[in-house]
Amino acid sequence: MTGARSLAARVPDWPVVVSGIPLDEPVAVVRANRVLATSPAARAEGVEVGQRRREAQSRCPDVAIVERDLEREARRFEPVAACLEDLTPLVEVSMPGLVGFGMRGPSRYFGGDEPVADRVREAIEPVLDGRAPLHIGVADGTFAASLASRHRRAADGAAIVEVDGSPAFLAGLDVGLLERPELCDVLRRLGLRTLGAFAGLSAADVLGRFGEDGLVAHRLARGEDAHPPDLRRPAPDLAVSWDFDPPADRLDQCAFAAKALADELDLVLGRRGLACVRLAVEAENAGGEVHRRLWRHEGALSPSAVADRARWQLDGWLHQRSVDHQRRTGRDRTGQAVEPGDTHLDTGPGAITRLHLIPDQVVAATGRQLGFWGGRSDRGEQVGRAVARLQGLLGPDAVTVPEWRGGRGPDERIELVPAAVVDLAEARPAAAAGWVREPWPGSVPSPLPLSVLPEPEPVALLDILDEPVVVSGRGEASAEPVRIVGRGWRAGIEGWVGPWAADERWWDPLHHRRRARLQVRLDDGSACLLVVEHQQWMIEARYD
Amino acid sequence: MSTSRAELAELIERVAPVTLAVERLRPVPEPLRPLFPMGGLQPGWTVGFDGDGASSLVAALVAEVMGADGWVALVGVGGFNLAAASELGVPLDRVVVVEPPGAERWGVVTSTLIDAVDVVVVSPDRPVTRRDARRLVARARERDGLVFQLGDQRSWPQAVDVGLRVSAGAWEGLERGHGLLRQRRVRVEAAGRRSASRARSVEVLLPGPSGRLEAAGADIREFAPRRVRRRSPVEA
Repeated sequence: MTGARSLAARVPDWPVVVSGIPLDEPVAVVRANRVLATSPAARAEGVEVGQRRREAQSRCPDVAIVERDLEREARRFEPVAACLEDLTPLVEVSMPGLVGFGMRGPSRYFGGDEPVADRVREAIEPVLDGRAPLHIGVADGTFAASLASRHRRAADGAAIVEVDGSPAFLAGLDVGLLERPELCDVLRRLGLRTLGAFAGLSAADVLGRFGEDGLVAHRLARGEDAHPPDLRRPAPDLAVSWDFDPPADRLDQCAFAAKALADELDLVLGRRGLACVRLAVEAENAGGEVHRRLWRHEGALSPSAVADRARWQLDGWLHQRSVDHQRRTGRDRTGQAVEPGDTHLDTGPGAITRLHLIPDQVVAATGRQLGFWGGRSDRGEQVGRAVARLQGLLGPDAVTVPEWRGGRGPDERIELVPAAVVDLAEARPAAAAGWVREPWPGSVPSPLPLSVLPEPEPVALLDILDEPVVVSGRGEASAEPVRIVGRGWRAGIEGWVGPWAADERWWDPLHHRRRARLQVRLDDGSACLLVVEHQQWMIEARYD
Repeated sequence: MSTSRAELAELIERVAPVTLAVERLRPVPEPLRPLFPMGGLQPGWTVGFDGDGASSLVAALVAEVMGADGWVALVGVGGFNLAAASELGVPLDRVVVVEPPGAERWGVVTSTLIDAVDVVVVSPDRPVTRRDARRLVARARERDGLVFQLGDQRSWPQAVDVGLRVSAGAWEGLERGHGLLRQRRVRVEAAGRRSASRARSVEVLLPGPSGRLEAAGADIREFAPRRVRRRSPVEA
């Protein structure tokens, strides 16, 4: 029993395409300092997915580094998905960059797989406008179709796997294509290097050893759909909806409603022991237009994933509307030129009046096994929700999470990154101890001081003759420090060590700094870290 | 499916054995256990931190309370060096840092956080209103969270459940021109309300040679009023 015949249309390197830089220039899209997508030109220079930013830059010095912007990716993909709606109503977006639909109806209507593929190409290529290639694959099962779209024949025309040919097509492919790194690592060590070898195992053994997720992978490897064909068409009363009164004219209002609806949907489905694998998000505006999009997720969709998809879709749709409006009039309603990503919508007929979330395909919820494969953590998701709420309240940069960076100073080893750019439910190696392994000569030794002064406090450091202690160009102190004098206080120095010279960014005249640090213990038992720059001593941090 | 999830949850609640307060205690580092009447922090408590070394003590306690899957949020705790906190055992992949919110948002920010994380560390730079504080404390009790309040105790409008004061800190290991800071001997005093009302103190190394909080030898003194011994008639 192979999966339902499907077509997958893929725009390769979508994150790079969205960046706006032509694909024949070297580009790397990074997230959390790791390369996530590259342009063909960058690949030719040896830049690979998974490398660190520095590594990529060392392979190809003139590579352009772009931060990932998932929302922009989704928004720009919306027109691509929308132009397929003339062919079939059941367009499914798996991820920005990959769109597909079931072929049963279209193929019959247009007279075969090839005519449909041609029509898809005709529809999408004007939208892409020559900025990116389009790959099309047709096979039994969505997974096989998406792999077929990676085949070299997919670039022009379409890679079409014959009916019932998916298992044979998949058999020779590398097991790593399952995109489950931990599972694939084990399989390779067991000598199962191809999807065919993995598919040869018995399903019961796979379930026993690798759990629910392993079983899904096994099903994919055999050319079936990720979820067994007993997909129930859910009763219509499972849909949840939200009426906006007055109509919502801001994206964040819609996003907030989407979040609440996603939680409600989770509850409704949970009560019946179901999980949603395909979801329709439908929005109506005051002008009576209805916008509907299907979203597929092979793992059952979590509430925050549902809310994200609804937000991407609305953002894309509303943005498209405002661009159309601008094209007609040159201006938006308030008379200002519309910026891409502008979240303020027009309040007229374009304002959203109703939002529906409709679970389109559901499966029995078997529960998500957490932990064993380092899966998503429930606590992380819960914290993520609270963080999202605070970001709505305080602004996107007000909530941050720490990540390790290299550095010498007491507080230079941690960088606070906005919580919006990381997924708190996933493991974050950049926040785990041991992320930075390279030694930093001249760095402050452990234990580190716990409180770093927001503004260093200027002090005078005196020797036994009450002369100021100076540090020479070679990083040597002129005399033993004996006394420290601040504004309105003085203390004796009982112990000191250093100075540790730090000659930072000597290659960059604008940011070049020569500093030296001194650890001192005062006569009241406390300790602090002093720093000297341009012969001015300052307290940088206290060992609080 | 005949039984819904909500009914199941209700059944679980009904058949679950009664948990004693002592079983729900949040752990503290072993050397600090004598400070607390039941040997740990009670869920829902507000704990005040004060004195030179209060930041280190916060980090050491947070690390223990977080355990293997807890989260902590820092709200407006300026200058708190997370790299140093990590050396005291705080896992940084479960830390959220929130900029100091304005006075009008302080209450809603902190009570949103206490819903999701185990410990909220606050260091208000201006006095907190009685209403915000009461709201946060009530929320913490309801969700079994902990509120750690660092810095000036006068900014907090009501009495904390237990106040920890670090004093008599003395760093060791650094001499004139040689050595490095290695360990610090401190005294931690605890005084609070209700069950924690009896003042106790303990001497610990914060940090010890291992970088974490360590015991400095058993030395527990109770500051309860000394009982006056009646002279026995024989002695008289």
